[in-house]
Amino acid sequence: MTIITVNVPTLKKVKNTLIGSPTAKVSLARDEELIATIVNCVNNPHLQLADEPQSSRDDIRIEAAHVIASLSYGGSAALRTLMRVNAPDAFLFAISRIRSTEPPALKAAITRAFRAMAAALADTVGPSQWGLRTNNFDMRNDAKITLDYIFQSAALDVLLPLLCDPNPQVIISAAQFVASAVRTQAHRAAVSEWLPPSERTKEIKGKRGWEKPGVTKSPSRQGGWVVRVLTSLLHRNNAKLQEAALSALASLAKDNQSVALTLARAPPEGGATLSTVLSLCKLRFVDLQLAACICATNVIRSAHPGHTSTTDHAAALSVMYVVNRLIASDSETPQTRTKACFTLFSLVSDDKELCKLAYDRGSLSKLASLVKAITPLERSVEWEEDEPESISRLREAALTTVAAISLFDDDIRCEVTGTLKLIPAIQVSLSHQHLGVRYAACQCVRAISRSVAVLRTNIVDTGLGMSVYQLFQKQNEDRRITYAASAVICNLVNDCSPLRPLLLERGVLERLVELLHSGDAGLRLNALWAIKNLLYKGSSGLKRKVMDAVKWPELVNLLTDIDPETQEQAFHVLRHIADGPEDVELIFQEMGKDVLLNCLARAMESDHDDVLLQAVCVLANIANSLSHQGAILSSARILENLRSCLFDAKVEVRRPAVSCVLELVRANPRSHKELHDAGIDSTLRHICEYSGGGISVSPTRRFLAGAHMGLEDDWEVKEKAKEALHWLERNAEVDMSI
Amino acid sequence: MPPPKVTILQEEWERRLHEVHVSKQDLNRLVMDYLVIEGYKSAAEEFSQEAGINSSVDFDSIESRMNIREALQRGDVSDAITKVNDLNPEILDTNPALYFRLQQQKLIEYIRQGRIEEALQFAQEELAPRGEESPEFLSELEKTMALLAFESSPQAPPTISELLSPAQRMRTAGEVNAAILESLSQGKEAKLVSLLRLLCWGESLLEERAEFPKLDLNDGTFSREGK
Repeated sequence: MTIITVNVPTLKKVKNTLIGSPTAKVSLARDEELIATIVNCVNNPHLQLADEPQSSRDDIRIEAAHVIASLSYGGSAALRTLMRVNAPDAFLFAISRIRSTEPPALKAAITRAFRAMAAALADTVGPSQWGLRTNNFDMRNDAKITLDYIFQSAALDVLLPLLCDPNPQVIISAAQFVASAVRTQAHRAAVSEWLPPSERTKEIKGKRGWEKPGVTKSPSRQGGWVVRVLTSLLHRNNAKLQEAALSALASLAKDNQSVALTLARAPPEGGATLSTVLSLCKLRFVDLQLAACICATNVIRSAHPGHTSTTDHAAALSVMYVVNRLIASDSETPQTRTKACFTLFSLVSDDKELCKLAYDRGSLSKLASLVKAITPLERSVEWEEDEPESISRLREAALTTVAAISLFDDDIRCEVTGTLKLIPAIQVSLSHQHLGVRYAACQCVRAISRSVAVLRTNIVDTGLGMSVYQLFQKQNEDRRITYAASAVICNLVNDCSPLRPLLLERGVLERLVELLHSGDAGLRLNALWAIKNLLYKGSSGLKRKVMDAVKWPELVNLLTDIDPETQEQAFHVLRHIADGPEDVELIFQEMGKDVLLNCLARAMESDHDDVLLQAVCVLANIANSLSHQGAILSSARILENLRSCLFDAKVEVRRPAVSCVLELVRANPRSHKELHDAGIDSTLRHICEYSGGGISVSPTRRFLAGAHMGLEDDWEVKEKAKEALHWLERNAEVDMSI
Repeated sequence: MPPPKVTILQEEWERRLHEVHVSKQDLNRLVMDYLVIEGYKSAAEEFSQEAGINSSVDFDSIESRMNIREALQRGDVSDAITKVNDLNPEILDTNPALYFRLQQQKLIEYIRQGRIEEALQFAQEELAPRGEESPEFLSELEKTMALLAFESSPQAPPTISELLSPAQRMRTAGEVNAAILESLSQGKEAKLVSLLRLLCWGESLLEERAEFPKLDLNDGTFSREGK
């Protein structure tokens, strides 16, 4: 514990020792008392610096702020100490008390330090902004509490007005705060919906229902106060300011449709902000270009989630042009290229058309060249030990983006393995010491293994599949890697995969069951998915083997799980088992008729279409087994549900439903009575008599209505309904005549 | 068969050059930009008055950069670091490679002055941790430690002995200058330099199709024989 006199020379010495040296920061972090004293200089000068004249008080406070700012870059040890001495709170208080008569440098220094602390907190709490980070569980809770406090209205009342400060340095810090600390939807909403106190009363007054929207001067128009201010900053002639504003807008627009739409749409008075952003992509400074690209990306993807339009594509192309250039450029720093990769990833991920667009623009080949340039063909200890972290992160970024682009299209996947020859690099990355690199490599294998051709050839021949399997089996591996590997296993156990028998031999079943009980929702779901794939077109022997490992009571639990996704997979498992009349007997034996029927009936009443679909498919498979049809017919509840499926569900459900009915009547003449009691015969009649013929019903109407307005327009359903009705009526006649 | 090259005579070339209009104002701005970026404050101030142009850059920041460059050129790295931190405490905290370069320069200065004991201590306390934190600095660190071993003897291989050359100091100074300029969002490179680059590129493109007088970069004249 050092006791130093706090003055400008001593503080400068501390500052200069700290800046640039992570070791010095960790060392200082142990001296909680000193840090508390330094913090106190900033927020409690009247007490701490009572003996100092005013001018040197200001200088001392400035240097103290610089020390704290530097400490914030010192990792978790330093952050822990800062939280323990309540530094964030203290600085917030200090900011709120700064008078306009005090020197601008003071406010700038304190705001900068606060921003640095907030960014460190957000990095600890997550989610990470650039790639995977190692988790710091013990600190996370405390950091979260502190961060949540910062986003409360009272704190924002102090921080957000800084965006209008006369000093550009202060504005930059405030905007950077928004950019780096806003990561969750709750915080995003808090900032984008925030209004200065003066405008809050105006807002209430402005919302008279009978006034036309747009006429009101309601401040929450145009995306909110913060968005408006940030947008105006884009037109200032200060590159750092523009960059900070762009980054802040990017954070606010991410996954936030209302902000994104505001920025994308052109207001009556002028051009859309998005156009301004895109023009900034072309300016000289790389950091500015990147910030503009990220902002544009978030706006494009969040404005119309799920369906990007052609205007979105035009904007996306502008971004792609810039990021492609940065990715391909050897003269850019690894950090720049990493951000460019992740920006491209955000732009195209989960959007088939954007992926294709990027591919057409040459993104994939540039990424491949990058990966191959920084990845040796064979593993070596020196390579891993001496590799700078920045290069590992770059590889992670590039591979992650390769995986995203290759997710949908077979041609693209085949190019990854073929012309681009990326498999050796992916292979060697699977065992890299850097967490993110392993994760990204798994994602690549997952993407390419979706191609049957690749699954049958490269994945096997190169040993890539078995390498992932090794990773999958690893006990003390990070859960996120196991999860990523499990997604690959789902593909590797498909019936078309040559690796299925080998994996079974090597214990994949035991591992999957282990993950089923792991308590991790994601792992559980993927394990179930893999088991489902394993059972598809499997022999009876295989089905028995799988269920011996999974155990029937466990399956019953999963069939009645509260999570609909789990339920859906569980029923899908059952559906695959039931695919074969001999195996239906197995189900009845092991589950028992009552349990089975109960599960099915409940599932058929589910609000979730996916669960309903699988349950009906199970039913249809059971109906294929003559000896078990009686069980179905004995349950009035199931028959009732079946009837409503016939006309009230989407076509993917109606088809198996009508197949089920057809099987019941065709093979089982006596079934007509139960079916009549359930009203199925009249429903069939309805379908046949009011079939749509040549009229095509618009898909959106059907989607919205569920029912098809009394018109059956699916040919398969119509035909089967007709046939079923024919049998039904015949059976009824025959029965009557006996 | 590629088409035969067009020949452009010196006279013709100079005539064409004359026809391109470059305003005096543009030329002045280029000179101003060069003086500002390279950090010649008093020259920039005088030129600003004479040519009647204002730079958007404030001259005080030029002075700071100049002082830092001078500190490095006389081997006072600690002073340079202090000044950089005074100017912008963010730079060295967010640029580990640059900080390492400065620490390395400090070690080199210790060795140059023959202060071997201090050099060893400094290497142990300050540079070794850098190497541990970021393995990519290890090879540079090893090079510098090798210098210690040779104790500026003439037998040191050139890659090691060049660490003691003025060029190394200039290199460090240049990197620091560039980092400061970037933090102020000013160009890292004088526009004049970028223009020269563009000119050379343009010449190499044209050369595929024509014979023409090339610019001699050493004395700024045109000659047929060129480079």
